[in-house]
Amino acid sequence: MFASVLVSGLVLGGIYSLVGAGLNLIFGVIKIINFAQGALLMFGAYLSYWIVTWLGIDPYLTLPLVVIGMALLGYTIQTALINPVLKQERTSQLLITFGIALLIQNGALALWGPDIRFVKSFVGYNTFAFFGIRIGVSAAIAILGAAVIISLLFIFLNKSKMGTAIRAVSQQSDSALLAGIDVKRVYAIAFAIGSAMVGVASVLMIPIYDIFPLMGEQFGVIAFIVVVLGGLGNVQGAAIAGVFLGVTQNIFAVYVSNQLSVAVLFLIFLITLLFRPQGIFIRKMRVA
Amino acid sequence: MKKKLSLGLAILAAFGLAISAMPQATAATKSIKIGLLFPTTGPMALLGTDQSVGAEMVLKWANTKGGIKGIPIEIFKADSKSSPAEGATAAQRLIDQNGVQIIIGSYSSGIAAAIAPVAQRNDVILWEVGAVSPAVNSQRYSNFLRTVGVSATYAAADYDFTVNFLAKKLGKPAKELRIAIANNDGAFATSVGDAVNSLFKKKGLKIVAKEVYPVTSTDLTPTVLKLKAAAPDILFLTPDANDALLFWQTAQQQNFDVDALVGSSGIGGAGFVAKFGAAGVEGVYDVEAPALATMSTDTLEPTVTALTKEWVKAFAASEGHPCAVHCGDGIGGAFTLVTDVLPRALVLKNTTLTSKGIIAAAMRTNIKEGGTPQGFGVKFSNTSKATPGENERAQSVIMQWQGGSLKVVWPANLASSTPAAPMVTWAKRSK
Repeated sequence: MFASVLVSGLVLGGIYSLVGAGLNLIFGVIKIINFAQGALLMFGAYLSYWIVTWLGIDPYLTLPLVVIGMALLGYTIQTALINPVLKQERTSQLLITFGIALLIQNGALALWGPDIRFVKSFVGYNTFAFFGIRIGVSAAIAILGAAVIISLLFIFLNKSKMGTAIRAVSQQSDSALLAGIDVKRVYAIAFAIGSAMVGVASVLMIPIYDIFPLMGEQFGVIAFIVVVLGGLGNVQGAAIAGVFLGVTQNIFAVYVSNQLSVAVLFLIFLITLLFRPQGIFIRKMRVA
Repeated sequence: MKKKLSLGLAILAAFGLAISAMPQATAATKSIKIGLLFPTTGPMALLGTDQSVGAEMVLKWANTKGGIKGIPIEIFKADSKSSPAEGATAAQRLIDQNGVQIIIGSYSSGIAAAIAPVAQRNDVILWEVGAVSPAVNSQRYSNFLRTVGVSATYAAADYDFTVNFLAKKLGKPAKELRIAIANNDGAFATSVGDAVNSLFKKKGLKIVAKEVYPVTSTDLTPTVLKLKAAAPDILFLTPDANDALLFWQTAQQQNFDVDALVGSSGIGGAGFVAKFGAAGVEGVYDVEAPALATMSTDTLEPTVTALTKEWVKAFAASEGHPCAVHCGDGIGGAFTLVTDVLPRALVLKNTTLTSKGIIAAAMRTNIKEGGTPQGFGVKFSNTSKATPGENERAQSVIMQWQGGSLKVVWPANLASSTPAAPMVTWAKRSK
């Protein structure tokens, strides 16, 4: 049973990593806490659902449209709502993303109702079985997809001109401005990329999870733990932290207490904040 | 002179106070103000709305018959927004702004628990038709009256079905059956899971696993793996709507087979069969108050049968889906109120409706089995009991997914179909 629990924890952790990596990028660059991350995940799921419904295509094929849609949404949110409050007091910056989260959530409830929706991909609920371990094909796709996207993000941040600009802004935004970088545009692009990553997570998740207005809440909360554990702005750290949390949650559920398996993640969160607030991973691994 | 004036004023004031303290001559009730307070938005809206619509249909029907003893019912609707805090606020608003004397609610045990103290301190009746946790009335409020069974009725139905049907069908004495119980940690699910655990242990049945998982859990693989390792014959599962689907999907992926799964809540919901298809849910049981659309009305009193059929048809026409469990809760609860309790309350108090009069009338309610749309009778426990205001005759039934439809299969007098066991394995389920 241990191997099965470990594998299921890896899958869960892959999803946590993907949602957390997007949040980490936003947090690391723009230095605001995006309370809307879970709501954006939910919105991406609905976007994919409606594309599937209208076009009759497989949910995985909605990826390009969802990524573009979420990127545009993220860019708009940053430009129209967040940039204007960046010079204001911290409370305004915190509350604006909280307000965005409530707007998206209640908007989804009002528009689409509370009914649970679901999509079925071409892989259905099929499983791989090996050495007594069973893993859903959709779960395997999710973890592979998460690994690919996080790797692509790492390459983008380290090898591209825009990636270099993003890293510069995240480290010293004033110096970046003096160097001629359009900081506000970089912020918007960072938010767009973070939102696009959430869109990828949504598409990978909806063959596994059902869609309803509150579906992103728990993932959004755990994304914060991923960010704290992985280190602010550390995308690689977020990836490892997400996997660690997924594995910990499932092993704890089986061998210690199922009922406290989610609570233990918050205990890890508190311990990290108290004793290692910069994150588990050393500073030189920071990529943004 | 001044002294005489002061004395005179003092006497007048005392006289005025004395008059105001005297019992007022009570005016006859001109209308009966009833609030319908259910979650009609938010995650609970799907089933909360069913309860509200069911109750409203009966109240409107009562008005078409001239009201209660000729006194019309004024209906006020409010939304608890799937939140206990909102429920309490909405209850207070119904009382302050609309002057309701009775609140029919609440669907959720958490919301009912928040509304109950509001009703009590404002001397308004909370007529509970949906919430089942016994903890809702842990304060023993006199103004709390519940028509639907508490979680103990779920356990009683589960036990009756296990020993009188499943044991025989599975070819094992009841005490040799391997029983597993799983529920999320919400109020409703916990109360049912604990009730089943408590009753089954008391009766000497073998519990091989009792799993409680967080309702916020993002992965039920650990829960399913632990249950699978326990190798139960029967699993009693109490999830909500969301985790019901995730559990069954995970059970399929982990190839977790049981001879019988008796679920509740989300297991009996339309989303369950919509997601997995008729073949995917074939044979799964659901324990709850009966789904009126698939319940036999043969043993109901003739007038009740006719009315039930009329309401079931009207509900399906207006809501676009069958009148299932929660619709039945609303209809059944409101039926007892308007046909039994309120008429008696008005007679007892000479056409003046008071909460004390309603409670006194409810304590005299004595409806036999077959006398309500849900099939069970009504007799409220009195204040000397540990939990007053509960319907001692409430009953849960066992339903089974058969051919894509949730049919009442137990007890026999309400069954519209015969139960089947053991459940087909995942390997043999047709796609």
